Amino acid sequence: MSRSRAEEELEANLAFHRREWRIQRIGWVLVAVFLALAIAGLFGNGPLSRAYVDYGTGRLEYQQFVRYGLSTDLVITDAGSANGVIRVAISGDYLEAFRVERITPEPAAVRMVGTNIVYEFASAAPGASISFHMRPQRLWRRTATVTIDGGAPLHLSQFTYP
Amino acid sequence: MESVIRPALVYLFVLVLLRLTGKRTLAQITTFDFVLLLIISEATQQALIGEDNSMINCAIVVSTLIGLNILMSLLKQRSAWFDRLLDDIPLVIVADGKPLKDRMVKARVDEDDVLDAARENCGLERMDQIRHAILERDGQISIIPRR
Repeated sequence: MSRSRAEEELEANLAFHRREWRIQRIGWVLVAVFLALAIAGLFGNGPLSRAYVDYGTGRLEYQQFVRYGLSTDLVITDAGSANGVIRVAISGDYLEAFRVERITPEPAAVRMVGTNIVYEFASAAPGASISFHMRPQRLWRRTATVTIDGGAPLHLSQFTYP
Repeated sequence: MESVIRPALVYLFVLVLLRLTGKRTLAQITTFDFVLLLIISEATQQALIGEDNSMINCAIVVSTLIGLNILMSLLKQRSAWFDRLLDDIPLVIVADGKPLKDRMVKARVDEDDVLDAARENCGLERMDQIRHAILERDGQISIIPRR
């Protein structure tokens, strides 16, 4: 009698273990998927994260997925105009979410036009590139409107992970 | 991407280094070994996370380390060769009450260590009371007493 009860208990324990093993296997698969996505760049720094928009002659490159507290670059490549002056206007609300830490090269002038901030670069040779080193200050999705040399506004959106 | 590569490289580095130091190194944790472990963890921390203090980085780093550990355990289960490579195999150091000197020298264990284990685990006093002593894969010495 007592033996059969012990056996019943063991059976119940075994069922628990089977369930546990199954959940563990599922967990391993989830970890593998998570890591694969991390390598791909869904959580920043990878092929999935790199993005760009083309304008006129040049290109604006950025990361779609960034991490809180880790700096990220906005790069304008093949910039340059006939008179050597490049004006980059960035929407002000975006600059509330991202702090500009450094700009290479240094802009000759920074002005406020409406709600935008305009960075003016002088004597740029054609094909020059400009990097904005930004550090995210807010979480979640932020969009920016960037206008280069008065062209069509370029829209970009970035997601900041905690 | 680098959030996965960094911890993976650190994992392999620490794995190889600890494997090269031999079984006995961290088996008996003395105060110094304990402090050494803390220093090692402090030193590897920088390489693991760099300057990225975000939560998502922490999640990726920890998942990489745990994931590699699960992967290694699965590989060890499937391949005896891999199991030996990673975890070593037990070594008989006292056979029939006779200490095997050359093996003990190579494994960096002495008779005092064997007697230590014999006292602690079996309450034995002398070498001739021991039938076999085996240096296990984790660096512990197991004693089989003479009947």
